[in-house]
Amino acid sequence: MEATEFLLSDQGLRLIATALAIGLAAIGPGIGIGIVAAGALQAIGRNPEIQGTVVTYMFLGIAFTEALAIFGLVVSLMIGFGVL
Amino acid sequence: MLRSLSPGTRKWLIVGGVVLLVMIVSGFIPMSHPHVEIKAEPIFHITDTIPFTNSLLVTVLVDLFLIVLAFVIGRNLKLVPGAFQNIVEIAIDGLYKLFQGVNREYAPRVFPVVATIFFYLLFSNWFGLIPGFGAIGKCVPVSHETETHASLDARLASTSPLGLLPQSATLAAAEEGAEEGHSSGGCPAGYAMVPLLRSPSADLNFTFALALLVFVYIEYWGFSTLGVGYITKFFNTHGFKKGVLPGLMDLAVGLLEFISELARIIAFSFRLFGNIFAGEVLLLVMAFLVPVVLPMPFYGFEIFVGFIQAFVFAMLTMAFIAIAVIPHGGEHGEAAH
Repeated sequence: MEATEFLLSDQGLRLIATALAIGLAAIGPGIGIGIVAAGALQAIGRNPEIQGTVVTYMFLGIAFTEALAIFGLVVSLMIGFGVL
Repeated sequence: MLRSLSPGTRKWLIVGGVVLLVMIVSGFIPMSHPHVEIKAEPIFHITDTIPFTNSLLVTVLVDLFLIVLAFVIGRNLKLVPGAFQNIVEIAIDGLYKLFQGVNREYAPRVFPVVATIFFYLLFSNWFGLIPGFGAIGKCVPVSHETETHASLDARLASTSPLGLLPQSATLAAAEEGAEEGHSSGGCPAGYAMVPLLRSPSADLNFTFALALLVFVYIEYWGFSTLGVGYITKFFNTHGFKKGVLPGLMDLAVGLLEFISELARIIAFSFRLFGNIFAGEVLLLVMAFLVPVVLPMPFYGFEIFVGFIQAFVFAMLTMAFIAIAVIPHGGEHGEAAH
């Protein structure tokens, strides 16, 4: 049985980098958005009247947190499309 | 047989049958690979160097839509509003109350600009979800626009004779490249599809320009409120009165503040671009994988995302203005990042 040789082409490396960039970038914001939402829900649970304000600021917080994942996504797209 | 069932069951049976039929039929329709382009493509060139892109066309369309809407409502204002005027009044009133919640003093002054940003982004995000965006286009001969893919394939093919790839893989890659060229957006070989319409928010030029505009606007409010003293927020030398160490500390904090101020431009532009562009790619891929029912919840989600991103852009502008007009030394707990 002859030994199969596995070779990594330029395109293959590019695909791995694309997937890794967004995959790794999604970890932190995933945890972060969970914390933000949990805090907002606790706040609403303790004081339901303040719901409108809390939801507004929750979305602002989520936007900040999510921006990191979006950076990862953009880098991933740039690698994938050969811009970088 | 159908008559013996209850009307409710019959209805669901018919719906299910139709969905199943569509799924089976759609399996036989030949589909091209999803066409994803990261940059807006030119429809025609105004001059040799200035292209008129598809996202610019939609930008103008959204402009016209909003101007006409404003004229229609503004010219027919009634004391007892009709249904349409009522909806617009509720939207603007609700938005105004939200901005007042951020800063009561400055909300009336910045509301026209910030609300314009909100409504503009809202409609430009939602326009991009209208079916036909990115799907209707014309076939143009492959030129420098699509060279990246072609050159990648060529590079792949050219590296392989060096012995890096087995011969069969080269052939497969070459065949795949040819096939992809053949079926790109339903165009014949050697042609690529250029969509006629593209959401402005899915074009980095547009979001970056808007981010720059917002950045200048925020700094304008900082300078007009605090005068030249606004700059000491970033290049802070007041701390040296207390000693060398606190002085250096304040200087470093100010410089960090300055960097994060500049990073806002990038964050603003990439947040909007990334969200909207990723949403479009998501819808495209979902429609490519399962064309029938699966894209629908994502469609609803994208409508929600379009609203939230417009809201976040306007709200962050307002929040940053509220931070910029705070005199230095008054409050230190303004770590908004």
